[in-house]
Amino acid sequence: MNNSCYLGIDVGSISTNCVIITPEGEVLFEIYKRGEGNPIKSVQQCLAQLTEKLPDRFSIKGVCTTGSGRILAGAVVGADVIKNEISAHARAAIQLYPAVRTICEIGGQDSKVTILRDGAIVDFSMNLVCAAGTGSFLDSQARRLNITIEELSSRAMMSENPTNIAGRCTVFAESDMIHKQQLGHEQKDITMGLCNALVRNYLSNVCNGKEIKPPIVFQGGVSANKGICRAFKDALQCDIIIPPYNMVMGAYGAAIIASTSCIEKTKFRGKEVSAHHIITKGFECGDCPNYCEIIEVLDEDELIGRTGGRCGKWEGRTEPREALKGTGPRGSVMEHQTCRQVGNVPDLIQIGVSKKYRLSDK
Amino acid sequence: MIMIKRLHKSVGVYIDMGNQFLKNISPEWMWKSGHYSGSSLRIGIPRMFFYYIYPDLWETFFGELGMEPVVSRPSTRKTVEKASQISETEHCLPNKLFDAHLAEVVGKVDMVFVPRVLSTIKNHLSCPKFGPLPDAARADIARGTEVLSIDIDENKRPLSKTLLLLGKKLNIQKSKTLSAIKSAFIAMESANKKMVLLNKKKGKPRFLLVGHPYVIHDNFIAGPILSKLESMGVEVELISFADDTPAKSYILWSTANKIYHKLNTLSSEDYDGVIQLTVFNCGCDSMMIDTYRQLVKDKNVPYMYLMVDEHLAQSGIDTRVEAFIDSLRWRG
Repeated sequence: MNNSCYLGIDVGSISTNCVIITPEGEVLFEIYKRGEGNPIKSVQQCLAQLTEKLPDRFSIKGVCTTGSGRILAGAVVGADVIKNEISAHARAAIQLYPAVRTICEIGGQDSKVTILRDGAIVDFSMNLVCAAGTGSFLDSQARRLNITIEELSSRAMMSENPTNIAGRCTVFAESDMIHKQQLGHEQKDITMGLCNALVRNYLSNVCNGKEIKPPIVFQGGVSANKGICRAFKDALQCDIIIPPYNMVMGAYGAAIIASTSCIEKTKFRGKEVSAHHIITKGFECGDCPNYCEIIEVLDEDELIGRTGGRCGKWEGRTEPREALKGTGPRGSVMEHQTCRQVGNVPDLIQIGVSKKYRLSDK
Repeated sequence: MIMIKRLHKSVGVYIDMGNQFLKNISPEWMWKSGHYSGSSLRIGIPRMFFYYIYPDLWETFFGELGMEPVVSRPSTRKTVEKASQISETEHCLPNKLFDAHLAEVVGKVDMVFVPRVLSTIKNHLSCPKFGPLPDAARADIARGTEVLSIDIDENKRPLSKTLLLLGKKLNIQKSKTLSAIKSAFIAMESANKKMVLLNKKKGKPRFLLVGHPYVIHDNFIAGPILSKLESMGVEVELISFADDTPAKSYILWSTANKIYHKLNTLSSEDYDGVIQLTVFNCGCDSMMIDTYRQLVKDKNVPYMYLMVDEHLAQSGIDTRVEAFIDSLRWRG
């Protein structure tokens, strides 16, 4: 019996998820953990749980990290592959439903739509600067209603006559919701109205101009919310598929990517990392006028990785700081200089014009 | 075009009739010039808008005239921080950055140069935001500093005539201005050629990056995207605005017209993908993006647009660019 397995870690804005699969793609187990804003700790706790659950005969042959904290997590656990979450989610959906043509993914801070044709991504879109069409919108409204997010989900399912709530912006939604509360609308109708508002916002902002064609797979943390699923079905007028590992699809996709990327020897630093004392330290690069904040990840005293920086010269490098510093920014941003830049010019002491260019009366 | 201008603190209100010559303006200026000692007149050029529309033109022109051109440094995080303090919140990001660039040169130069760019191609229009720039500069950020301005309006007169007028305005001999114009045009031509390609190495995939010249060449807006693409081994061609003959189309905006024309004549053999770079509240782009998308889709070339705002995190850009390149690999 083959005892190798692959680990996928998805470090998102709200949750940290782990999935372990066999080389055949079968899920051994999954962990969904809502993080407390400390991605390193969350990853370590996930690894600790993993140590408890995973029988000793299994050995991890490859690790892939994804999500917005993928680089930091990759440094902590020693990832073989670091993959963006759009590809990871798509990989997972294709694994389960090869015919999928649309993937809707709503997470804590991000919402995305991925359009696939014949098993390949042809188009995708991600929410822009605002988190209005994402899980954090529901979170803040649930807090406002003084109910948990699970209650919000179950109450929305009971609604028969959903209230119409403006969903363009969380601030507007909140004032509209209070107004509706004052008018005496029932709470279950308001919660369903919120779900409808989120979906409407998602469809008009993120899916704008995209061809949403079934089969549609709906995944990400928000897909656990029954009210949202119902709102989706109403809005799209077709059935949507909620995959079995809907909450951890990113990590599942990452694990599949790890298992298919022919890793000979894994860089995985071992499950013991969960007990290590890992800290981060920031410093300002200063090699160019961007003054990027670079974060160094330290395991005890050993440097295990760096994140941050716009030019990418620090990313993932573990050389001593002195070896990289002073080399100037990497990459070539358009620079064609034929005169002095303001930085080299001393402050003006006296305003004036030379005699040669004096603005004479003649 | 009449606007009210305040000259230094003590002189009071003066009415500038558009192309009024500087020699007529200020007795104080004359008085000051008599007290002058040392090097040539310093002229400040903010590194935004017209700096990228006419690359290398202004430095060369003013340099040849014997002035010392001083350009603000490429935009960085610090520029954006400065911009958020001094600029209007409703402006688009380049306009905010313009204000910060202007503030950077003010106080270090004798005179700042802010032309009124109305039209850069005959029968086409520029973004209406360019119109009030000199007045806004005089009224607010460059207050107390001389603002040298000229109308750049191709519908009225070609650029060379505009520069000639600028020389006249500065009271410089015509022959000297003419030779300065000549070398400025040569410099602009060679700069335009340099601005097109990012990665020289012949490789696959090959991308086309489109957007306003001051968006795709700005260090803060496009810098992270360009370096990300470069680190992924992608050959990137930046759209060129050098070709001066506009194609006949219904689009009146000069940059949008050029992008439209480029995308309309695009071939899927030349490019593996098109990336559109836009800033959050650009009115022109929001009108045009769907048209661009449709044009590129008809040619069967993958298209992605990246919208940049002052607080967009690097990870968001990385995710999009990586996923875009992944999707190309999956297509095979």
